[in-house]
Amino acid sequence: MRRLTNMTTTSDLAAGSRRPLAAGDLAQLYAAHRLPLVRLAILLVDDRASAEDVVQDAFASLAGRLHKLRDPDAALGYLRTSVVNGSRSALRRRRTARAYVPPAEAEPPGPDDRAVLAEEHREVLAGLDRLAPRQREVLVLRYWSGLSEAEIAEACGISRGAVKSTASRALDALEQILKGEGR
Amino acid sequence: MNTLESRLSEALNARAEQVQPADLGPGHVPATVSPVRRRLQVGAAIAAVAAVAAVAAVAVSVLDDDGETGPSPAPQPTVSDTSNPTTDATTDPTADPEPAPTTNPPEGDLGYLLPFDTTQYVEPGTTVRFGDGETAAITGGELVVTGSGSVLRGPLEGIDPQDDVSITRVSLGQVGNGYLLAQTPGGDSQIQELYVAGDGGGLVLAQPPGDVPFGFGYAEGFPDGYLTWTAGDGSGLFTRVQLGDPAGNRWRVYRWEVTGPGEGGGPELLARDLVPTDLGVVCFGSGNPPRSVTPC
Repeated sequence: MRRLTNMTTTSDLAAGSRRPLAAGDLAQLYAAHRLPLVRLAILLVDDRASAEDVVQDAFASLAGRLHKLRDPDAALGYLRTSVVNGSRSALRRRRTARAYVPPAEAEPPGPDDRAVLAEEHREVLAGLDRLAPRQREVLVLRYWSGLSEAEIAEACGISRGAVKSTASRALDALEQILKGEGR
Repeated sequence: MNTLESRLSEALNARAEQVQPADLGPGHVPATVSPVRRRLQVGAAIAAVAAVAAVAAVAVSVLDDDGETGPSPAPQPTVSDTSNPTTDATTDPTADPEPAPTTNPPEGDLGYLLPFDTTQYVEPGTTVRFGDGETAAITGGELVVTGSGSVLRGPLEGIDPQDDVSITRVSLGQVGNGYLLAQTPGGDSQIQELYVAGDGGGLVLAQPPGDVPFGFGYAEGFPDGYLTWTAGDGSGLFTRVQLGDPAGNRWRVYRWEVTGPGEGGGPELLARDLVPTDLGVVCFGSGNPPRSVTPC
């Protein structure tokens, strides 16, 4: 499980100074967190191009308000929230666009490289696709990012209680989906 | 971690590991904007807007002189203003999460913000009846609304169907009625979710934006707490976000609307997203719920 949280590199930034973050800090954040954030986004949106766009947008947004931040961990939290929100927006735009193309072209965007995954993993990921967006986000943040309930609550903009109940219900739903497919 | 959790963790990890550093496109660190430069940009934008307004005023004046048409009222923010699917402004991650400044305090009578609804919590399975005979209940893990010969159902997402819940109905314009569900899982935490009719004929959870909190609690960027409520007559759905010292009882208030069919004059929106309108800063009287509200 990846720990996409307060990584060591962030604690090195602006260490102890409490000065506003600067361009150099952003460069360090970018170098340290771009890949894990793209991986997070790809688990939410399924295709690499969208995932990279979402992450680039998140960094661009952070760049615009960097001078307001003094805490690198808050910057990472901001990035994470932006990626979750951006991924949800990307899915929504994709869903809206899909509604206006001829049915023959309305196939979901192919998670191209899933094909090389083990059958076992493909089944679980397909089940994850069938959950509500919020449920999927909570499970990804919990079981891949390894975030605490409080961190997930912050990233998703919901209460800790909602995180707990959403995760529980999402696991139940996933289990039912997998059982329904005879697994 | 049980078997399912392990399977899930392994599958997610396998999927994520498919993306290696070499796979990423050439990235670039976005340029930062210094505060001074930012102010200059804002100043330039204000100047540009003023210039455009001046030109527009002249144009309107000319039209008036010709007796062709009068000036139109200034456009007010509406759902359609912020719900264009091509701009997706409400959840745009690049949007500044700080609320946009508005005219403060808000003008006019603020009585529509009161009273706060005080719907009681009921046990699961209890049918809540509204004034026009419509009913709502939590049954079998779903919110079920019955009225006018139709039945709407929708799965609950964050609400525990085994626990007490309050169900409040609010009118949301073209989208129809919304059903605000609240639950207190423990301590002083509270879950609040709004369900509305979706495209498939069922009830769906309306998604809040990332930049304005919805519900009740505390969040990064909103350290002083926030609370969502419906006006007592069900005519409005609002969230207040506390500003500064709690003793000051100053709050920024947002009115919520929901994107839906026909909004924006274009293709029907499929998503049901909560869209906030910043109403400005007000002072509530003390007491819970408050009984007075004034501009401040």
